Amino acid sequence: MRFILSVDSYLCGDKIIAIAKKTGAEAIHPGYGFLSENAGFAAACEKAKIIFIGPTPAAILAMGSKSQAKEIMTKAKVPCTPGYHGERQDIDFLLQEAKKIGFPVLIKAAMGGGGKGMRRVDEAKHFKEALESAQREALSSFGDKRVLLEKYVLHPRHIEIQVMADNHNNAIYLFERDCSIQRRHQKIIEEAPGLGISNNLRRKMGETAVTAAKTIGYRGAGTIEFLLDSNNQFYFMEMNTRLQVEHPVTEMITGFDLVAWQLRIAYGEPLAYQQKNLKWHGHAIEVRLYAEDTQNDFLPATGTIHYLSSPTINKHIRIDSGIQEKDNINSYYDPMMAKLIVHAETRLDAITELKNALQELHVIGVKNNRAFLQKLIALDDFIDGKINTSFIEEHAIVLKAVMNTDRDPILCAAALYLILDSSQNTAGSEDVFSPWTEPDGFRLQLPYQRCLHFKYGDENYAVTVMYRGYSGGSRTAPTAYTLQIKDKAYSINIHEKTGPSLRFAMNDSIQTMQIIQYYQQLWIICDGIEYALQSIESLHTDYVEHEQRGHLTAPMPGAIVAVHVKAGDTVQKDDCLVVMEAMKMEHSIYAPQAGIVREVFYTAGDRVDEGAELLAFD
Amino acid sequence: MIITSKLNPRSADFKQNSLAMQALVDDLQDKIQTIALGGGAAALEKMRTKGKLPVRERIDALLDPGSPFLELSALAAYGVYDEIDVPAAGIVTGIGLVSGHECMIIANDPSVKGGTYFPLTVKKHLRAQEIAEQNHLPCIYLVDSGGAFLPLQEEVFPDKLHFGRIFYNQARMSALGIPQIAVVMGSCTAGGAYVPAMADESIMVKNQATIFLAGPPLVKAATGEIVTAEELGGADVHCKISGVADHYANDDPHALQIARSIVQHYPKIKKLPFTVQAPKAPRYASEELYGLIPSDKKKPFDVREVIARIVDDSALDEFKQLYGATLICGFAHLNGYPVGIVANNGILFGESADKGTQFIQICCQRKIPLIFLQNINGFMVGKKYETQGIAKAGAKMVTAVSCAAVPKFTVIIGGSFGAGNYGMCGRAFNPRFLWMWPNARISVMGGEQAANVLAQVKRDQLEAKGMSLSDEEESALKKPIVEQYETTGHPYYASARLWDDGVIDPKDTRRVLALALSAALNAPLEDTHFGVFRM
Repeated sequence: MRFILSVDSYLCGDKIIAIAKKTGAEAIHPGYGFLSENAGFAAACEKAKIIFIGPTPAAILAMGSKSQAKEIMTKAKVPCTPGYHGERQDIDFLLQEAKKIGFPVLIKAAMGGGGKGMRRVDEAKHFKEALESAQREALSSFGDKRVLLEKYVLHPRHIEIQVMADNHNNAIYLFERDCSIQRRHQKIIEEAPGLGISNNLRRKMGETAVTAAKTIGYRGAGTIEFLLDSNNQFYFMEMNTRLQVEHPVTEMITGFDLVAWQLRIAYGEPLAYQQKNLKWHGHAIEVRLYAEDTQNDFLPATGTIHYLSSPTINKHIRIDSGIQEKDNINSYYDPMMAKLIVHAETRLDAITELKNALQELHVIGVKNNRAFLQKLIALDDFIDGKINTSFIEEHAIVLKAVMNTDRDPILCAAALYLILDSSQNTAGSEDVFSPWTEPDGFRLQLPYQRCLHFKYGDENYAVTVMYRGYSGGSRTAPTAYTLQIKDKAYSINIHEKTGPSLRFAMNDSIQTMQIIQYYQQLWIICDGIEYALQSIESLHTDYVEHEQRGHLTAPMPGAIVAVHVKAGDTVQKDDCLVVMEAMKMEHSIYAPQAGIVREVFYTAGDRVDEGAELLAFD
Repeated sequence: MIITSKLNPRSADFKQNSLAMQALVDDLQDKIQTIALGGGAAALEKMRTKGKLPVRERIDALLDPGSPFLELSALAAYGVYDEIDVPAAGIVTGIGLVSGHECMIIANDPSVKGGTYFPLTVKKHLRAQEIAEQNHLPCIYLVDSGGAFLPLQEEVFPDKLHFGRIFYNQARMSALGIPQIAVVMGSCTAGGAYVPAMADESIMVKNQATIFLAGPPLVKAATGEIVTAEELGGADVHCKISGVADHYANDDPHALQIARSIVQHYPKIKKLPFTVQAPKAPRYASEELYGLIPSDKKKPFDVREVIARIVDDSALDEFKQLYGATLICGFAHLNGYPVGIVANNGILFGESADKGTQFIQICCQRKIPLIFLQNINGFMVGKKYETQGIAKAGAKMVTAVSCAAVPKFTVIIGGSFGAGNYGMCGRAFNPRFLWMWPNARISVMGGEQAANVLAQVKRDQLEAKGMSLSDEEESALKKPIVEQYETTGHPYYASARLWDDGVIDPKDTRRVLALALSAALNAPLEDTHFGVFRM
């Protein structure tokens, strides 16, 4: 498959409408992203006599511009945060406004959403760079570089209300979701109901949300997002005029199928329920599985999925997944791979369900946030519900800490996997049971040993494998080894090896692990935790660490957006040199040390691969 | 038919036998582990400081990691050259898997007398080439040798099966399409220079390998030219200028890696001449072989007990079970390969020899490999048997064994005496491989028997003169004979002289046979044409 940019595919409204016409589709459901909040597309559908499953173009437009939305909401007496939502966009004026609001301020793309084109600025001196960057991202993501400014409310919770409105002037709210756990201004954990939200507050927020929806003549499923501060004051942030990624938690606690509701509304049916008849039950949590490097500022990750395992689905567990084994996660689209949703009687039970489910969920081959989520939901503050939108930053040290596990069983499993797998007859040989392929290191009267080398974490390890006894040609008898790692020796008996699973006795303990190999890369799953290590072929290849100094490489595949330096420039440490865009996010690349730029290898607009050398400096 | 073992592992005999065999195996292991040190720990360390790997580590690095290595004749030259110790005859040979292909490895051990060729070094090298040729195994020569051992040059150089034969074999095998690859990892002087030169492809290690017909001292003596070894025939000369070598390696591991990739590009597909079934382990433990072989060589044992511990599922379908019962013939599988087993269960009579002949004919017709388990004192003697024409029966069996073109494998598990050795496919009858157990003996007749014969002859002479032989005189006469036969019939003595391909631990028999069978199947099975059978 050829990967094409979304502007040439999912964002081509005219093509989609043409296909709908050709196939006789009467309606288009726009999903979550892309054209789902595009008034032009909704209008084009109307014009083509195709039902757009969503609000009217006018309602989308009203909420699409954040500044306009805030004006409307202020008029409707919906509480809003202080900010500048006007049309003037020149830098000096915006800086003045920011100073008026008081730092920290948030710069947001006027037409934006999903955290794109959003920058937090803590000091006036960083305002200019952040503004330019936000404008660029806004332009590339939404085709409109206008921004708005907002007071940055410290440590708020993100509480949003699900609303549903029909074409008959009825609107209801389906309670709230707490989406406070975010990184890079994007949600990763969402739950319903919100912890500690009183019925009174719920009603107040719900009714405010319904008011907001009615003010703009809303139709279909929508979400009003609020910031809730520690004094239970809530402020309107924005309205998402579409179904949201996290809608399943609402479905789990209400038992409703929101997409079915959307279809019924689009068909013209009135809402089947009145507000007073609505109930919710239990507690639901959703986690988003992202292809990203949690150790490296959550940068999107790419790669091929070599192995995938999922927890068993039951009435407590739901998985919405877009991936399968052998899939290639590329940089052209959003890095979200799957959502895992659990539902239980209480929040604590739901956390336990989630913990168990995450143990069984494995995506091998692409860096992802599974282990990060595991660690996060195990934190006391999370369990106690002490959450806010800065939760991840506040717990960054604990969340980033590398788990300190016993490395020897992992190294043993890696070594055993390789030695049991190493001997192969040539392709096409009819000698299918060849005794030569039994990896028992058989020698006449002599011992046999091998040394395997691994890179695990930042260290290199040698594992010496001493072969004890052979399988006697039976292929059934257990094979015994002694493995030595540094000064420790382990007596090993292989019990079973089937597919990726390996069961072995290590001294007196039985170990069961899954091992997945892709060339030199090995992943080992032990007790639900994934460990990644690299096999180093000691004998035949020299392993050379790449020299980092004097070079800057692309941290991920993507496109160069801006190059701030040219050959001969003197730069200081942490100066912004190059700006890249990948997965619709901008990433600035800073000077690791002071120096002089020797050569720049790319210009704005170029596409680069991960690891490509961007510039050289002395 | 599954063989039902009657062996009782709790019996006193079993325990005593086990101890005796264990002692033999321990001694064998001791000897071989010492031999494996080559020129000794100090010599190996010296190689390492030069950046060279010891020969066995070279082999380990060449082979597919963790795969077996079927070494040949580790005991070669053991105790042969009185004052000079030449462990393994200074050359390690054996079959191993390289990039998925079974290959013959022939590797000089430079820690042993500079890797020079003693007469038995040549014999071992030629035997490895013979195996490679018979079984179509690519040859990889790890060359690191000073050439012929000059003090014994007359036993190394001139004859048909001397040094020149190495190159004859290389050329002939290359002609048969059997790859010949030389990895030059040290000196390769004079005659030795032809090993890489005759190879299909050769690799040299820089600053370490040299190839020349005459070394610097000889050059200086002959022409007065002063030249270093590296200038005369280093890797730079041969890979860049002369073209004597093809591949340039930085060090031993790199050179071996190149050899591995050469074999990787060998596109031959191993075809089997028959269907194989999934291997099944024997129902009885191979370790029990120790307890069933009587420590007293005069005591008989049922060879079916041995077969039950070697073949798949301990299953043997006997042929002519009720006829000629001193020879067991039958069909079995070993590691899934079909085999015909011919095993002694007593002295050979006319009937047993006829049975063996017919069975060998069947196996040749059906192209089933043959395994001979030798434990034989010989053919029956006496007027009755000569009159019945036992020589005729023996001749038929020898004809059948000689002409059988299927792969033959011989294991001497006890005695191998007289014409029994011939009928049971001794060394002269070209088995693909021949191994001995450490309890085995091989000679024209048993030591006791030989002593008795000699005493009888002496007694006859004396009695003709009217004298007699006292008991003391008789035992004094017999003792050196028995001792001599014990020494020269011992498996170490035999293996040292390459009368076999190695002395093996009985419990390794199944594994060794499986590896050998598999290796033998690299060559297509030929049709058999028998000679005239004397009826």
